[in-house]
Amino acid sequence: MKKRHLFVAASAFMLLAACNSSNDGNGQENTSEDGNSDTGSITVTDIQGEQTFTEPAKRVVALDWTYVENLLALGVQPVGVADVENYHKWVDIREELSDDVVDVGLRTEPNLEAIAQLEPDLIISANYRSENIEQELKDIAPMLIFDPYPEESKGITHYEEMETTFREMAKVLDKEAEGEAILAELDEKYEEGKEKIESMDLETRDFVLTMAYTDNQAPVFRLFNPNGMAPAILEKIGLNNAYDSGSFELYGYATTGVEELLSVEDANFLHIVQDDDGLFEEGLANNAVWNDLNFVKEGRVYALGGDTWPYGGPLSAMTLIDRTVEALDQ
Amino acid sequence: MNEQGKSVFYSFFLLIVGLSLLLVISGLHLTQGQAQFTLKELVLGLWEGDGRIQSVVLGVRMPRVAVGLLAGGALAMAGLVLQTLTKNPLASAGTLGINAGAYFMVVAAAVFLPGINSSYPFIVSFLGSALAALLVFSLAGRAMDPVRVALTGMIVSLLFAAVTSGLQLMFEQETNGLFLWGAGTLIQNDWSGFRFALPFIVCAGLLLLLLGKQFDLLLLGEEAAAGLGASIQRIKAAGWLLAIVLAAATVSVAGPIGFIGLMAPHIVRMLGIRGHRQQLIHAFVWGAFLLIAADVLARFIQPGSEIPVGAITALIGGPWLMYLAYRTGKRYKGQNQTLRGNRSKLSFPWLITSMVAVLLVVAIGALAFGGGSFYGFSEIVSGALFDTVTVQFRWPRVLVAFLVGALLALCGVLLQSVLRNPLGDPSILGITSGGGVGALSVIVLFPSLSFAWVPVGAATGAGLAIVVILLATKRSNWEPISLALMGVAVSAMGSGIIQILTVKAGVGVAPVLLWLAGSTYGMNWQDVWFLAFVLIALVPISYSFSRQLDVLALNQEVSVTLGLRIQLVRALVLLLAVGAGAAAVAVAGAISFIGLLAPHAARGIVGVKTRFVVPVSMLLGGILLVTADLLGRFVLYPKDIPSGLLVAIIGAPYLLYIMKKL
Repeated sequence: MKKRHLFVAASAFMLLAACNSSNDGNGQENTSEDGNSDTGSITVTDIQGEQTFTEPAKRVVALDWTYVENLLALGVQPVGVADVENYHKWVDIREELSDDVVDVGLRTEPNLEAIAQLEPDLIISANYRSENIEQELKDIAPMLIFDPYPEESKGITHYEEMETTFREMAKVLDKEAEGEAILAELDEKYEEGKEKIESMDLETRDFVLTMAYTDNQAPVFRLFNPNGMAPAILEKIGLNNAYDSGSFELYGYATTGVEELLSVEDANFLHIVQDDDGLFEEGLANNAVWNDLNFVKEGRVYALGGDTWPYGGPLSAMTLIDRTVEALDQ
Repeated sequence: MNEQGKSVFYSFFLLIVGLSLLLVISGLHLTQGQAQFTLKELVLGLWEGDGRIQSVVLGVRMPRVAVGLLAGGALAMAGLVLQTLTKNPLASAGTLGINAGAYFMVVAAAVFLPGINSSYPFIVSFLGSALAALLVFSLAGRAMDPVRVALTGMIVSLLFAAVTSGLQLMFEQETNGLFLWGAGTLIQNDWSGFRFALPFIVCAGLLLLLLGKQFDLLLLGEEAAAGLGASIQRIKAAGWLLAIVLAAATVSVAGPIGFIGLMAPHIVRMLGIRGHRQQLIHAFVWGAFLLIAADVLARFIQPGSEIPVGAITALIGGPWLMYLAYRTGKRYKGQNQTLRGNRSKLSFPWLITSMVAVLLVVAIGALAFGGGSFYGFSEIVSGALFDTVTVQFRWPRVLVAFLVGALLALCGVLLQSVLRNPLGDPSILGITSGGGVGALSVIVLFPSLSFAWVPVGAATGAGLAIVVILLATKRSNWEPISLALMGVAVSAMGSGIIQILTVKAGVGVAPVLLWLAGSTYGMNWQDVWFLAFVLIALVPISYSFSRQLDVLALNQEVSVTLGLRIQLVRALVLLLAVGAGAAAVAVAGAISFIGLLAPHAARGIVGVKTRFVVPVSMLLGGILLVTADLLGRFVLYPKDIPSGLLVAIIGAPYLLYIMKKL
């Protein structure tokens, strides 16, 4: 039944798309200066440079979860999302992904035909995910490609990139007001969080944030580095990131073993670990170094939950703050 | 001092030297770690009972050294015994596919029976090891001809590796933690790994020592041994079982680590140690030394992060294997197999017609499926196969699948004829693995290069691999067996480099795995034109060599008397084969088995004449990959299963069958 509906919807949109494309010719000529006037076109900047759209995007396919989340924050349900099942496992934000959003396959290998069938008017992806299929995707619909992990030389931090990308997405959806509202709300959240942290009687405001997992019986810690996005968020609520790997980390974290934790043992240990991982039950239970760490002995190990997503957008940032404040407030 | 006394003294002296080296390297190993302590601090800290240093050294670093000691020693002993049992200097748990089998089983268990791994890690990897050993044992034949054993082990490894990487690709989250381990690592949390492996390794080791004299008898030859009252079958069975126990225990605590079992026994023999008891003890020491030294090296190269020790041992061991292959190849000169085939009663034109018909049916089926459903008959008739989406996405995929399948089959036919070896295949001659290294280097080492460079990297890597192989075998006049063995060595080294690159790739690992599994995902018309061009250029040339190839296939003496300029023909045909293989690998990644399967099946239908075998195997290869592509898109829609993996799954039973019959 569902398929039939989809087919009807798809054919309806094919008609719409046909109408749109006939408008394209006119639209591209009157590029207005400010990039987004009521009558004119929309100019958005991604890693490819400036891109012009004649109309706000309506049917968007998001191939990485950050962009799914940004769409939801802006009040737009995507038409297609890569790997819905794992999205639910790893990302928890206040906006729910609608059940009729189509799963278009793995993030690493999205199904091109499934995307084409959705007749999207925009595909959003991350550069490191879609380089090998960029041309094919562009044949389906215009693309916005962002770089969530900019190199040091790009002169933009991971946190700034998150905000910039969010604003660019708001532009292309013609939801700039909504976008600014969310960012303002995030700023408020920072203030609130800061007050709460200050009101708490914490032994220390130093923290180390990690996403940790078991690598066949051996614990692996992704320790977030000062250049990563998540520590930048937590610093905004008055905490201090105690960990520094000493160099720029492309993905914002250094991958280490348990010995590395000795350098941050006086901080609060905030961790993101999947419930079914067994890291603490099996990997660390009898580990001499772990059991001897100050934050373990003094009870400063705080679980944020496996679906706190440290690589996302404003809504994930809010989840991160809520969970952190809640965890520390015990 | 009498002769025996002297040799005991000599052996004892060497043992002391080995143990001292082992002690030094272990001490060096203990100073390495993320927490920065100097040697002095460590020693003083331990002496004065500094709790922090004690917990680091005794709690985390010592277990790692201890596991390295056990694992290295166990692998070396297993290798020594396997080499005796198979009378094959190239045998080890790695080259016989035993490690790959164990690792496969662990990954499969992680996916399908989560929980069982943590409860019964040894049983899981033991089953995998035993399965692989049984496969190799039953397929290589009772004679245990070294070359066949080596090639069979290689193929069994490939088979497991293909399925394993497919599983990792499909179940990214479940197997996430197994990447690093897949290349072998000594990381330990506590003493549990050591405590777990210790009894297995000590018991198996002691039993082997007890059986030492019996193994000595085996080397005399079966009849002589039987004459001296040894029960050959029982000793052999015990040897296999103990070697597998050693390998499985190692895999379950440290992952699959190759080449230690190959190198250590050779060092021991080079030192002139005689007799299995002595050799086993020395092998244990040297194996432990090599493995711990490799781990020291791995952490020296990149302090703070984990390069899998298995990749380092592969890098060191690859050239070693090449050297051994070189020597073994010379010794086994001239033992060629002729290619066999059947001529079926079906007339050739009729056969081709029916195959083309099958191809059309499959191709139309493949073109009709997409976006989750098949086109109905009426839709096909009304031209749905030519709508934009289909033409843009499905046609290139299906055509590329056909062309890649055909090219790989062509590559296989040419290689098998020129090597007079029924196991000639692009993946065995290092073409696939070299291509993999090239492609991965582009993805991992030069991330700023556009993806368009990946095929260039693949072609370069494949070309380099074959050049290395040809140069290394030049002195033996490119004897088929030397070639094949050198190919195995180069492949092994390639996979070591691939392992390092895979770990280095980190977050970007999925496209790498996709490429390694071989996939027809995301093809466009450019790929089609490129492959079509290669095919059109290569097929007529290959055809023009068909008579020479038929003569070559008879055997070398005959071809010399018939006045063929053997070297020239051989070099040219090899070049053609590499061209076909490299083009296929560059576009679709490492798709194994088609080059092996299709020519075999073809010879089973039309006999050995090259001009018949070429078209039939190309059609078969094409049909096979088009089918795999369709199934890959269909089975888990909207997820895509790499077609290389499906080829392995479809082809594996047939492959095992033909290997049995060889």
